[in-house]
Parts: sequence; C-alpha cells; structure tokens
Amino acid sequence: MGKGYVAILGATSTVGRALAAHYAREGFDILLAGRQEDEVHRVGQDLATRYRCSVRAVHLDSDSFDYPQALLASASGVAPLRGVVWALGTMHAAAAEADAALLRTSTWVNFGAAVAAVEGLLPHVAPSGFIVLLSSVAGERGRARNYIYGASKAALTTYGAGLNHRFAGHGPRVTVVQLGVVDSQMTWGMDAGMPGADPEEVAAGIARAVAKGRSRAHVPKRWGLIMFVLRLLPEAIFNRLRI
Amino acid sequence: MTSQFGRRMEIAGWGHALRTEAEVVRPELVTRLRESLLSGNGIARGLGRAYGDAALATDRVWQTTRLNRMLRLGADGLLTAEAGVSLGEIIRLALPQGWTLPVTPGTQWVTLGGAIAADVHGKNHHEVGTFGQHVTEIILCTADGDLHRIGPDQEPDLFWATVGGMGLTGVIVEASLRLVAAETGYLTVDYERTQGLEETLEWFSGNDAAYPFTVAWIDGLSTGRSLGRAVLMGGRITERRELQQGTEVYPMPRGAIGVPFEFPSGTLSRSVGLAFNAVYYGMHRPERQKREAWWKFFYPLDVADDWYKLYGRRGFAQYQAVYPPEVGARELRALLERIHKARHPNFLGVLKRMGEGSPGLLSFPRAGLTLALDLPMQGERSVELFRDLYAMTADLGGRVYLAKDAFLTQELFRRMYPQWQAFVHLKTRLDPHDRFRSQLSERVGLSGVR
Ligand SMILES: Cc1cc2nc3c(=O)[nH]c(=O)nc-3n(C[C@H](O)[C@H](O)[C@H](O)COP(=O)(O)OP(=O)(O)OC[C@H]3O[C@@H](n4cnc5c(N)ncnc54)[C@H](O)[C@@H]3O)c2cc1C
Ligand SMILES: NC(=O)c1ccc[n+]([C@@H]2O[C@H](COP(=O)([O-])OP(=O)(O)OC[C@H]3O[C@@H](n4cnc5c(N)ncnc54)[C@H](OP(=O)(O)O)[C@@H]3O)[C@@H](O)[C@H]2O)c1
Repeated sequence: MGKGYVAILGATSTVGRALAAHYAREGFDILLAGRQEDEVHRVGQDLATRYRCSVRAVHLDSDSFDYPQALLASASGVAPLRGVVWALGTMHAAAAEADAALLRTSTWVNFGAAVAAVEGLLPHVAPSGFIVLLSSVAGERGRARNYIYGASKAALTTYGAGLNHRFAGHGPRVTVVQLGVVDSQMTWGMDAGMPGADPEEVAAGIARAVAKGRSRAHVPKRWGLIMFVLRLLPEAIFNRLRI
Repeated sequence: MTSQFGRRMEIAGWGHALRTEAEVVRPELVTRLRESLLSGNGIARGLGRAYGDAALATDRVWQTTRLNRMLRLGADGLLTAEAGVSLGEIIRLALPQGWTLPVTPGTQWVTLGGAIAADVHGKNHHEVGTFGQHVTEIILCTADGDLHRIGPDQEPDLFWATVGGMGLTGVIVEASLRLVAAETGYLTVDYERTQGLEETLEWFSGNDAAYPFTVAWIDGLSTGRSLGRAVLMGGRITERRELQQGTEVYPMPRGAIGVPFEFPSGTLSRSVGLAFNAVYYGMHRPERQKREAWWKFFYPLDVADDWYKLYGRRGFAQYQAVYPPEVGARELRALLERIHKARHPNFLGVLKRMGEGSPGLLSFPRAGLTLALDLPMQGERSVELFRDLYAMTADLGGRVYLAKDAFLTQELFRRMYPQWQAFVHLKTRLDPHDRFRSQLSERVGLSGVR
C-alpha cells in the first residue's frame, strides 16, 4: 500500500512537475492532469521511471466546468486524494486589460478554473489531506506590468483563505503559496529583475509549508520580507518605481 | 501561452576561451522546442562541456537541460530518456538496479544528447567502441520541425550522420541506450608508473587485452628522458563476491566541492602546472587491486564541478588528437617537445590507445593513440602553438576532436575528416537553409559556404 494519490493539476508546469517529483519521492502516487496529452504522459513516465510510483495521467482542458468530474471519471480508484496541487497559471506578455480574449483566459485560468477544479474535487479529498494553491506575490500589490494576472492571483489567494475559514480545522488543510520569482518556463526570457529560484528548492519549500499546516506561505521565504516592504511603501514612492 | 522565447545571454565553451552572446531557448516540453525550431536558426546545447565553440551560435541556442524526462528503464537494461538528462542522473537511476553506462567520458556532467552528438568515447573504447554504438534509437527533430525515429536499422544514413554530427542534423529529442550490467559500483584498479614515453606505450600494448578500462595520465611537463612518464590505470568492474559482507554494493557520492570564484588569469602558471602534475604523478604509487568507487575512477575531475575557473578569465583550450596506428613514441615526443620549446604551460595530459572507429561520419575515434592536453590560453602564442600542433597532426594523418576544438580551419578539417563530403551532402538535403549551425560549423565549413 502506497500513501495514496496526490493530484497535480497543471502537470506540464515547471513548479507542478517539481512538486510531483517531490511527492513521488516521498512515496505518494501521482495523478497528473494537463491539456497536452503527450507531454503529460511523458511527465508521468518520468515519475514512474525515477521514483517507481504509480502514475495516472489524464488529458484535460481547463476550459470546462466538468474538469473534476472528467478527472475522476478517467482515473477511478484514486480517491480519497491525499493532496491536490493547483499549478495552472498564465502570464501574458501583452496587456490583458485591453484584449477581451486575453482577459477571459487570464481570469479563468488563474482563478475561475481553480475554483471549479478544487470545489469539484473537494468531496474526494481525504479530510486529513491537503490542498495547495499556487498563487503569486503579484497578487499582493497591483503593478502596471501585470495587474490582470495579479488581480486574478489576489482572487485565488482570497479564495484559499475563504476555504480555510470554511473548514476551520475540520477538513483538508489549504495552503496558499505566494510564490516569488521561480526559474521556470513562465519567467525564462522575461526580465524579472533577479534570478529565479530553483524549482526543486521551491517544491521542497512548498512541501515544508504544507507539512507545517501553514495557511499561507511565501516561497522562497525571503519574499515575505520583500513583499512586507513593498506593501508598506507609500504610493508616492511606489508609483515612481518601474517594477 | 507561456513564454516560448529565449533569453539573450552570454554563453561559453567549457574552456571559457570562446564566449558569445546568443538567444538561449530552454524548452521544457517537446512541443515548445518544435515551435521554437521553426522560428530561428541555431544549434542544440546540452551542459556546455564541449571545450570550444561546438555548442555556441550567434543567433539561437536550444538548451536541452530541462528536456530531461526519463521515459523508461526496462528489465533488459534498455534506457529511454529525453536528450537533456545527464549521464550522472542516468547512473544514479540505473546503478541501484544493476545497470551502468556502456561508455562514459571523463565527466558525468554531459547530456545524453551531447554524448551522442559528439559520439563520445571512454576508457574502454578499445573494448566496446563509442557511445553511439550502444544507441538503439534516436528521435531527431529536423529543420522542418518533423520528428524522425532513426536507428542503426532505421534511416541508418541519418542515424550515423547524427551520431557524431555535432548537432548539425537537428536536435536530438530523445534516445534509447543499451546499458550494461554492473555487479557492483566499484572498480578494481591496478596503478603503475612509468619513467618515459616508450615504457608508457609498451604498457598499453601489454595490458589493453587484460583490462576493460585503460588510461594513462601523462605528466605533460617533464622533459628529456622522463618525457611521457605517466601514471597508468587498468581497471575492471569489481565482482559482487569480492565485496565484504555489509559493503554497500552500489555506493553514491555526496555533493561536489566547487571552485568558488574566477582566479585572475595566469593563476595556472607553468609552475602551478608543474606542481600539479608532480603531485598527481607522485600521488599514485604503484598499487594493485585497489578498490575505487565508480565516481573516483571515472570522474576524478568532477570533484570540483567548475574547475575551469582555475584558469582565470582567459580560459583554456584542449588539444586532443588521434593518430594512425603507425604513429608512436618518436612522433609523440616531437609533439610534446613543440609545447616545451614554447615554454607553454600545460596541465594534465591523457593518453590512450583506441580501438576501431565508429560508423559515425564525423565521429572522432579511430584505431591508434589519442593524446589530450589542456593548455591555458595566453593570447597569440597559444593560438600559434595550436596551429603548429594541428599542422603536425594533419601531417601525421591524425585528426582533432571537434568536441574539444577551437582552432581548426576548413582546409585542415577536410583533410582530417575525409567523410565530410558525404556529411555535407546529407545535410544539404535535410537542412537546405542551414537552420542548424554553430560557430564550429561555420568555422570548418559545415554550414554556410559550400
Ligand atoms: C572534464 C571533461 C572530460 C571529458 N572527457 C571526455 C572523454 O573522455 N571522452 C569524450 O569523448 N569526450 C570527453 N569530454 C567532452 C564531452 O564529453 C563532449 O563535449 C560532450 O559532447 C559534452 O556534452 P554536453 O551535453 O555538455 O554538450 P555540449 O557541450 O552542450 O554540446 C556538444 C555538442 O553536442 C551537440 N548537442 C548537444 N545536445 C544535443 C542534442 N540534444 N541534439 C543534437 N546535438 C546536441 C551540440 O550542438 C554540440 O555540437 C570531456 C569534457 C570535459 C569537460
Ligand atoms: N514562475 C514564477 O516565477 C511564478 C511566480 C509566481 C507564481 N507562479 C505561479 O505558479 C504556478 C506555476 O508556475 P510555473 O512557473 O510552473 O508555470 P508554467 O511552467 O508556465 O506552467 C503553467 C501551467 O499552466 C497551464 N496553462 C497555462 N495556460 C493555460 C490554458 N489557457 N489552459 C490550460 N492550461 C494552461 C500550462 O499548461 P501547458 O503546458 O499545456 O501550456 C502549465 O501546466 C502558476 O500558477 C503561476 O502563476 C509562478
């Protein structure tokens, strides 16, 4: 008997894949979901080959409200889930506020789809299990460069806080992770102003926060301090920063 | 879409004598790699262990290090993985299951793709041939973005152009490699020391049949009668029954110690080199049946994963050549003396006798002695020295290893690699617009001018 399944929604995400590897190494079996069938399958093969865990790979589109139903229908026997990780996210180079299609995608993928997936999966999560929502420091103070992304992540953060309040200690633990810059597909080629953190270390940091039962955590930790300062910065100064 | 664009940054060959700025694309998915292949020219890059400019391009570089999914390791020892996995990772995965690499270069930090593209050789070349000769299948992404499944029996022309092809036929996406059984993670090694070149060469003649793994570390600085004196190693994989009860059968190393910063140029002066060579030579007293963990035997240089920094900002270059079987002590002596005459510092030298060549059109190995020497770059005089060494090599009928090279001209390249025409012919058909090009390929005329 293994330790049960951890579901990774967004299996092709850099951080999602690193978390999958982390939990597989810890002895969990892994349920993977993503919209690119062959790529998700390859991630699954990697986990099975490296860590000899059981892997279910499910091909899904985040564009539908049937997400959780479809997920469980095509992966019978995985419930009760020990954990659920929401790793989907999209940050557009173009201004999402000026483009209806981008706006819809951004708010849906970064927020709406997460709610649809998590709410649908909740009945299948073990009461002692965990839910991880990968949110972002971009949700803590709106910035000119990506405030639609930031606003969606702020919504996700608030959603996670609400869930935790709802369970109030009876039910799965929800950890909202406020990620700083990670060296991932999303940030490669972007000028993030600083080198991104190593995904493996980030995954370990997230798992630590989950194990401690934190409802919110900055990963890497130093982002807690950076954001503390940034949130307190008076507008007169903040507005002059091009960050 | 997630950002599929590259990052403009400086990249360098392992010797750090050659650097360039390029748009580095680091795909994590095959789909992203293919998209990016269709919108630019450039070359694949693995862990950047090629010494010169084989993995440097001025436009785009596809860095495969995150295309590193292990896909399968069967009970028959057949491993399938994406091109960006490192050999070090493969060993860590496979060894506890009783399998090891059939061939390994002197560092474990090269990628599967890079090992195929350079058709690398190891200390057992005389017994088992090159890395590519153990590859059963490659999935290659060509200039049109198509994926080709190729192998020794499947489009063999393209396969043997890709094995040793230095990335010029396309980007290797995934490959299958036949691993070999290893009873333990140890080697049983005999060390010997010789007093001079003739004795060193004799040792190979007498011992190549006796050991699966042989190599000589030669003291590149000693002159006169002790020129070519060496520490010789002959090894074999230790058998299970030789281990004491309770010994870990497949040991694993703990982290590497790094050289933390760039030393000022010239740190590795002649005297430091002298000292280093003397220490290495002095360290290994003749010893028999010494048991060594796999990483100590195969990867002595990996203890510091960025030791190139020892050479300072100007970097270094390596001369590695293989000569026809008739070349012996007299000719090697002339080559080494050319270096001594210039009073040019040099570092460790490696000498080995290779077995028969590989079918790879541009593969380096062929029967005969191979000599490798690291030389810190000291401006024009170093370049001159390399030119002379290369000319001497060509005159001897030898060839220079492209994965180490930084100086070969088109004319010398053609003399050394007589199959260049067949390669160019195939490349022209496959990649008519030279989408795949590196600074190496431009220098030796494998892309661009023809
Ligand atoms: C300390 C040290 C010891 C070494 N010892 C040996 C040795 O004993 N024997 C030996 O043979 N070599 C040796 N080498 C050389 C090394 O094995 C080769 O240069 C190897 O190709 C490096 O692999 P890489 O992943 O770093 O590739 P890179 O250096 O990044 O690239 C090397 C070449 O491979 C191509 N390439 C890389 N990935 C792909 C891909 N996915 N698809 C297509 N082409 C690709 C590149 O275009 C380039 O032409 C040594 C190097 C070092 C630094
Ligand atoms: N990287 C950072 O610095 C950073 C910082 C703060 C927060 N985060 C958050 O952390 C999480 C993981 O980040 P990452 O860097 O690992 O991201 P990533 O590698 O870019 O992965 C993003 C994931 O979202 C999926 N996705 C994107 N758009 C989609 C769409 N329209 N429909 C369906 N799926 C879609 C991707 O699927 P495909 O592969 O199929 O496209 C992929 O699985 C994200 O929520 C991100 O917002 C990241």
